[in-house]
Amino acid sequence: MRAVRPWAAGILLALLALLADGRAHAGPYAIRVMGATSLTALLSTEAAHYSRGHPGITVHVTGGGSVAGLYAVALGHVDLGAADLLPAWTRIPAADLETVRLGCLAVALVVHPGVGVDRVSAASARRLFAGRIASWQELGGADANVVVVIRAPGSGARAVIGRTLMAGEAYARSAVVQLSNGAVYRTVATTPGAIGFVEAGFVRPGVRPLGLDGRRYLGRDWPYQAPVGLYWRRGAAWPVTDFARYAARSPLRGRYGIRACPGGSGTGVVHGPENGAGSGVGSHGRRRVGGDAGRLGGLERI
Amino acid sequence: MAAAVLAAMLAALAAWSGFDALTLLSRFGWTPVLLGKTWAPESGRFGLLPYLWGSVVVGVLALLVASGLGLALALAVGRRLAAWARPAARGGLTAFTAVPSVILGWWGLNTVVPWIRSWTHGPGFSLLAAGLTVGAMITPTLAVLALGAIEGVPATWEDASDALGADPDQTLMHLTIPAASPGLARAVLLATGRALAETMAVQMVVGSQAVASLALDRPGSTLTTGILMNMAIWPPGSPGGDAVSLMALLLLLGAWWLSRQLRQWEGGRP
Amino acid sequence: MKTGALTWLIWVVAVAGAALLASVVLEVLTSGWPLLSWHFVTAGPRALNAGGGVGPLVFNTVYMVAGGLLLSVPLGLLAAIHRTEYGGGRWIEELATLLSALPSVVVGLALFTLLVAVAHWPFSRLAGMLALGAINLPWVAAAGIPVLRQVADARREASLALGASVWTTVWRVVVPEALPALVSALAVGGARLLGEAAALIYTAGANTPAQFTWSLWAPGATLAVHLWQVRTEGLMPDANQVAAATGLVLLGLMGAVLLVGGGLAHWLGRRAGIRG
Repeated sequence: MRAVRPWAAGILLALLALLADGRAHAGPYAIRVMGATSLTALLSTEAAHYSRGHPGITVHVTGGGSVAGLYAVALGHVDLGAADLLPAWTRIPAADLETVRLGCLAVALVVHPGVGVDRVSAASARRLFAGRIASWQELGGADANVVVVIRAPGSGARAVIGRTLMAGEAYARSAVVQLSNGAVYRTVATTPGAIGFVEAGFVRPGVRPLGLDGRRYLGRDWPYQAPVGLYWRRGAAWPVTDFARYAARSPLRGRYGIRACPGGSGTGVVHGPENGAGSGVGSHGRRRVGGDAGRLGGLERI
Repeated sequence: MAAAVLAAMLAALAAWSGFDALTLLSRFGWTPVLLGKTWAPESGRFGLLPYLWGSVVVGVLALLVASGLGLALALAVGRRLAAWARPAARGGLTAFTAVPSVILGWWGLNTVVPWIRSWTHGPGFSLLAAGLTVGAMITPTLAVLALGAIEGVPATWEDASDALGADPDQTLMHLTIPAASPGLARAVLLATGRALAETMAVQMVVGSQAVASLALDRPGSTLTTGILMNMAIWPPGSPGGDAVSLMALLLLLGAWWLSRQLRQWEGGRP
Repeated sequence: MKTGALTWLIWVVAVAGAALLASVVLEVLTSGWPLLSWHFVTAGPRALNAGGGVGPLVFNTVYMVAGGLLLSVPLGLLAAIHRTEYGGGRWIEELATLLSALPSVVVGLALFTLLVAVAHWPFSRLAGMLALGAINLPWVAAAGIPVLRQVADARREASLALGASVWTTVWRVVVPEALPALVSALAVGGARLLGEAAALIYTAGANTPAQFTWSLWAPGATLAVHLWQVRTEGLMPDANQVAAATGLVLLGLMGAVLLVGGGLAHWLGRRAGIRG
């Protein structure tokens, strides 16, 4: 036993050193970014470009979803949160967050090719997602049962559809919940009768986008737009805000489906009922965030 | 000293999840959380009933499937199969116990979900699909353990039964199975534990919807998939994160109860 | 001898069960076999197009399981030895059983909270190795104890009577005799780790490094995680097949580990003159 102790102590010390060193290994200055999975590819690419142009600064990007990213930045776990929903739509204490807007991501409604319907009215779409339509035949389509596919609660796309199309009504109880845009796409593509929503960029062969009252998801008048932004805590160090603004101007945005938000109501997002009245922190945050008169680019106070 | 590491692991796990759980429970109340039907963390509702219900349903379904198939396999291989074929059959079953859960999940998505969809009017993703998939998954484990129990019944006892004029089926029914029953019970318990701990195969076929419903052909969730789906969304320190810790604590308690049962039964064996 | 009704029933159900299990493997086999090739096992994955491979994933899997075993086997064996040779309390055994019954996703949650959320580690191979080690440690201890017990007490007593210390007895008498069975058990544990996914998704991540590196901090997706991801959210047209082929590679690796472990155990047993 005696021979074992120094060796075991060595392992424990090494582990402790690693734990403490968790941040240091990353380089002289590390920016941690976390959030919406629709943004990780873009942010990773821009992270590489930025690091090359600013030696000594490394940027780490992970997914986890918009809510995860916002929570993480609000609680101080990461430096930048990437989200495709607004903090005001959640209960996250966002009083001290500042943001830069990247643009808007259209949230398309997609269906399995065999449903036999390629356009719906907004009212029908809402009934579909709420589970109130049992068969596509009711809309003049094929004899197939409607299978609703949605995202988990932390998703920006889900929040956007929930506030606008659903106007706060609950999704179908028998809806299938998936973790990501990709998973929704796969499920809709392989499940006869399926309908779901994915962000632009995930409308790929195998699913068909639905037209809505004559509008298409690529058009300027598509009503379901997710506001894409990067968020940091007030007083964050210069590299953090610099990288955020750098990414916000990225010429790659178009490739990932991020475009200028349609004019009209600022962000182009039709505001539904605000959720979460409740606590003092929540309403304090909401007061500062609310009336979201979004301007593209530039610094905004949240 | 090395054992102290084990103890430290458990203590840390229990302490941290216990603390988080208590924070959540004290803030939102024991009954609304443990028995609450609504899981909507974005609106401040942390009812865990959907997850508890899902775990129980999937566990029971899996157990029904695996007990039937596994017991039959064990009896067939242990007492009816020609002796020369036994080692190969035993080896085959043992090999099957190692099949990873993601592969079972792949199969579940490929076969079970479409099959369920074809005779219900639902999506196919369901607690039922999860129960069947996990049942298939734990069948080899249960079969191998049951086989061990059955082979442990002394041949002399069965010879005696034969000598008394019983035919093979009677011997099986009235001697072998009852004699093996402590081992069989242990096999069932261990298989149940494995079923309740299963995450990946369930997540792929269950639909991950946080509802507690009697419609087993509709999507649901279990404690394990609840942790997987929620852990990255609600960070530690947020009420959602506390709820996830509570799910972990409940699973820890389940594992503790299981190992206690096993220990009690071990104690009674010669 | 007339075959009774019970026997018929047993056979029918057993054959149904065997057919079910066989069909699981057969489906994966038929779907993935066409994709298996040297290219598949060595090339990198493709996100959008057909023709990707699992090379980096094989490397990650082997690397991380090796690391996990390295972290857990010595400690686990020591704990088992403490229990059987040094009169450690029964709580060791109970604790090991309890922890090994814990769902792996709980281990993943604990390490995610500790390493990623609090200590700000990136999703990395090292985090995955720690997760695998944490899963395996109780299992090694729980599996090692009965194996060590099998060694006849007479041999221990003989060694001690000759004046050897407990430490010497353990390492020169008990362990060598238990070695074949230990090696088999460890191989089973290793095979189990190869198939692990739940604990790795949020510790080691779901992607692989852009370029080959030995770094412990690089993202560490494994074959099992890749299978899950491709099957549930893969965007390439042949996603189901890619996932199935990944599964076949994984099964191949597991089979190799079990064969090597079993073979080694057998050889060790024969070398020591004991039944293998």
